[in-house]
This record gives sequence, C-alpha cells and structure tokens, in this order.
Amino acid sequence: MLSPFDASLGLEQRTLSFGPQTTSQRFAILRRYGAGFLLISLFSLLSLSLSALGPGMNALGARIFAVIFPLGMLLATIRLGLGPAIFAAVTGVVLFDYVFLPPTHAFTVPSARDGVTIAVMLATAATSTVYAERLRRQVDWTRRQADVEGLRNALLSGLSHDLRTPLTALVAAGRALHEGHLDPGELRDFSRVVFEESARLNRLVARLLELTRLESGRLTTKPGLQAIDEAIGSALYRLEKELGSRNVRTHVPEEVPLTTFDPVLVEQVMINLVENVIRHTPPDSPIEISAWRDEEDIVVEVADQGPGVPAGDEERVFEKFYRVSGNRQRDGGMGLGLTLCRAIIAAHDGRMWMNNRPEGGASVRFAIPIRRDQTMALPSPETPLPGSRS
Amino acid sequence: MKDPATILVIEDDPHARTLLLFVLKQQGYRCLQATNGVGGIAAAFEREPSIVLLDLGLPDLDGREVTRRIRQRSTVPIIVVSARGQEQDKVASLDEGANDYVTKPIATGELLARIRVALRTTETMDTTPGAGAITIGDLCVDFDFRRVIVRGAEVHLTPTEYRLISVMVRAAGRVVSSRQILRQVWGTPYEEQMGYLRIYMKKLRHKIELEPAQPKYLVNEPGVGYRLRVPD
Repeated sequence: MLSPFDASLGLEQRTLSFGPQTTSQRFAILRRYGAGFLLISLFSLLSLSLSALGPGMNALGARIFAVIFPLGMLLATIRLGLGPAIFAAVTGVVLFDYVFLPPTHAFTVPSARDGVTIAVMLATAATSTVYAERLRRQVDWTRRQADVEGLRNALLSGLSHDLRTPLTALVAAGRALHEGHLDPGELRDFSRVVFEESARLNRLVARLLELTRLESGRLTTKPGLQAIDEAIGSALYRLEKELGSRNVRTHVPEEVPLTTFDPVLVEQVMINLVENVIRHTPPDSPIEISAWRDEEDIVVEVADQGPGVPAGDEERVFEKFYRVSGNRQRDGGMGLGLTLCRAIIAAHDGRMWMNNRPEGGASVRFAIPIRRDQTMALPSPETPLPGSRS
Repeated sequence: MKDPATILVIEDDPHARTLLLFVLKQQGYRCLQATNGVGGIAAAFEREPSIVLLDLGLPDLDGREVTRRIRQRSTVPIIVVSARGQEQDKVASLDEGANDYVTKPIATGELLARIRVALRTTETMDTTPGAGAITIGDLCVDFDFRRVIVRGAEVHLTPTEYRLISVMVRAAGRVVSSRQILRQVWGTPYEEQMGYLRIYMKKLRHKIELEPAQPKYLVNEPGVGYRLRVPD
C-alpha cells in the first residue's frame, strides 16, 4: 500500500511510532532516538574533518557545523519524526559547546556571542523542523485520501458485480413461483432461494451506506461528541443472536473520555470486528473487548482465543479481497470487512492494526484521536440548571 | 377477549405494503392502508387506528410533515419505518412526536415487539400519570419515594441521574431522541448539549448495569437516541 515515495520519506517508521504497547514498537522508538543521536554526531564529525582543511580549525568547524545543523534537523524530522529531531537538536547544541566552543572539550556556559550563535542555530532548526513536520503531515494525509478513494472504487465495482448474482437467482426463482405449476418440493426450494438470496442482497446493500458516508475519505456527517462504550454496547446488542451464549467480556473504564466520531460507522466497525471473530473462532470461544486511553488516543481492542492469523499476514489481512486461505465465506462477503474497517478508522484520522496474541488468538486494535471539537463546559454536577424540571 | 388493534399502514411501495399487511393480518391485527401522506393523515383522523406505521419516503410529504400534521389532532402512536442511514429523518420525526422507529428491511419479530410496546404505552398512559412505581426486569423506579432499586438493592443517584432514569423508564421500550431527553432532563436551552447526555448516561450505566459496556437496559441507538430495553 505504501508507494516508494512515501517509504523514502520515512512514513513507514512514523506509523510504527504510534503503535502502543508492544516491545518491538517500543524498540523501534528507541532506535529512532538512537539514529537521531548518531546523525548529529556524524554531522559534528564531518564539520570537524572539513575544518581540518583550513586554518583556525575550531572557528571554521563551528561555522560549518552551524550551517549544516538546520539541514540535519530537516533530515531528522522527515526520517525520524518530531521527538527524535528535538532530541537531536538538543544533543547538537551540547556537542557544539563541547567540541567547538572555547574552551573546547568542556561543557561551559557559552559567552554572549556564542550564545547568539546557538540561539540562531536553534531558531533555524526549529523553523525547518516545523516545516518538515507540516510537509510530512500533508503527504500522510494525501496518502490516506488516496487509500480511501481507491477503496471506494474497489468496493463499488465489487458491489455491482456481487449484486448481480443474487438478483439473477431472485428473478428466476420469482418467475417460477409466479408462473405456478410447482410441486411442493420445488415450491419449498424456490422460496428458500428467494429468502436466502434476498438476505444476501440485503447484506450487500448495507455496505452502500458505509460508502455514502465515506465520501472521498471524509465523513459526510457532523458526528458530535460520542462515547466509545456506547458504540461497543450497541454493536453487541445488535449481534445478540449471532453471539448466542458466547462469553463476551468488556473492559471500558468510566474515565475513557468522549470524542467525536460517526456513531453509525464506528458501530459498524465494531460489528464487523466481532462478526469476524464469530466467523473465525469456535462457537464457545470467548471474546474480549477493551477500550482505554493512550495519551491523546482512544484505543479499542477486540481479542479472541481462536487460531489467530497465519504468521506474517498481520498486515495483509487489511488488504482488499484478502481471505484466510481455505476459508470460504458463506455470507457473500467480498473479503472487504477489515479493509473497510480500516478505511472508516482512517477517515477518523485513526489507525488499525492486528497482532497474534502471545497467549494464542488474534487481537485487532484501532486508535482514534481524542478530539474536543465541540467545546463543552459541564455545569457542576448538581447545581440545578435553569429551565430544568424534576 | 379484546377487539384486535387496528393498524394504519402508510406506505407507497405496493410490494412493501402487501408484505406488511400480510404479516400484520397473520398476527390478528386489523389493517388499514394509505399510499401517500395526505391520504394517510386523513385516514388517521377519520378511521382512528390504534397505531400508525409511517414510511419515511413518501412521494407527496416527508415523514416529519406527516407526523407533525397527525400530532396536531391525534395522540395515536406513530412508528416510523425508515431505511438505514436516514438518522436525520428519524430524529426529525421523533422530535415531531413519532413514538418509535423500525429500520428497513424490517425484522418481523422486532416490528411486532415495537407494536406491542406502543400499544402498551397507550394503555398505561391513561392510568399512571407519573406517580407510583415502574418495574422493568430487575430495575424498579419508585416515583413516590424517588428511589431506584436495582437487583434488590437501592442505588444512590444524583438528582440529574434520577431525572434521566425517570424519563427513560417512562418511555420504556421506546426510542427517545437525544434532544428529547436533553429537553426533559436539562431543559430546552440545553437540547444541543449531547456531551452532557453521554456523560450522564455513562454514569448511570455504571450504577445500574452489571456490565456497563454490554448494557441490558440503557441501549444507545447510534445517531438517534436511547432506548430502555424491556426484557422479553
């Protein structure tokens, strides 16, 4: 899904930086900070060796370093992200002090003139960092738009193809029933065709709704503040029949804050994720649904104890038309469920990913940013509000 | 045995109408039909049905207008029949006084349950104008003593939480739009403050439900409002 262009800008690493919790992701973050340190050390070494070519080694080296320093910041921001870039900037200033400012090889409080140099260095670094970050966001956003747009098209063409199949059967069975002269067996068969095919048609049409709400990657509704536990609750309520006696455990602490999302679409995401578990795990295997706050995101997890996904397929499950091999879907699904879920979450500026759990089973998580677009000041809980009735 | 209830079906699509009438007659209801909004409104006044089933996509008038005009002269329960994704229209009709809604394609069981709730509401509305106690499953709201008892134990609610549960219990089984709840609990100036409602619903669920994220009573209807479920 990533174009070579995106990868060259280091977007791939960036998406990783968001992933909470797992050790490998924590390690990736650490690695990027290490890379920031390495980069800045390399730059000072370069300045030092270049300055050896001319007279007045330290003064020249300092100048070279001051000139290439913003360039380093630019590179650090684009490749490594904002955090490591800031870290590299601070390290750079300390190194500058140690290596180039007299007295060299000592950390000293800089003189007024050197202080100005450092301030100018930091200012240019800050400017380039801000612009680089903005550029990267733009690229990121454009990519997501393209993703959702592409998905819309795939869904539309898939739909029109898939609509035709049940329709043909319906017309044929309907005509036979209408014309009559059927024995009881045929009557039963044809009416079953009508029932089953129309149910299948119905499921397909439900997806059209999701499409219309995902107009070119943006939500067409103004969602307002929502509670994630309600999306989970109503999805489970709607799946009551399908879940049967299955053990569903939910953990949503009361403190998980409200945020803005489209309640119908996020409910659909929850329905799709839970249906996925129902389809791919034994009927008595439990489902665990949790939500928590992770810094500025709300993270939701749907975890099962089924067979998990084939190793290495954790990212591929989100591809269009992906199906676990050997698993024929009977519901007329096009293997678009998870792709659609991810597109919906992307339209909320969120992310979705899948892991196999170390204790067995699969876990799908998504994170959506906490937004308070609708400013809201709650009145103190028990002061009676004007106009209230009891 | 009582007379069967009479249901007025306002639906322009002939096939949908035929099927609705078939299902309803099978259940022993008497049926009336209208194919457009104007005819439906006239029938609602002249024939005095026990319930109106109103399709939202009529050719002449939108559902909100039909609801408004029927409400000017009649309190007959109106159940709106709508497609998924028409949350705006559903909310508009509910705000005009419709009692409930079902989503197309209609699940027969769900439709019949809604009809039973609507019929029950008209019966109880005449007898209990707010006092006494209402028990739903293992939840009981005692209006005389302003007490709420859940699974045999009294729960302590703040005044706002109590007002909220009272509104929901009085509308048990029916969907209530977010705006209606806000208006009744906080007052008209606050009817756009969805955030209040979500926060208090959350608090209330944590006090009343065994598993707040799998509510047995206070269920959210995404984009529309809330429903206090009545166990079958």
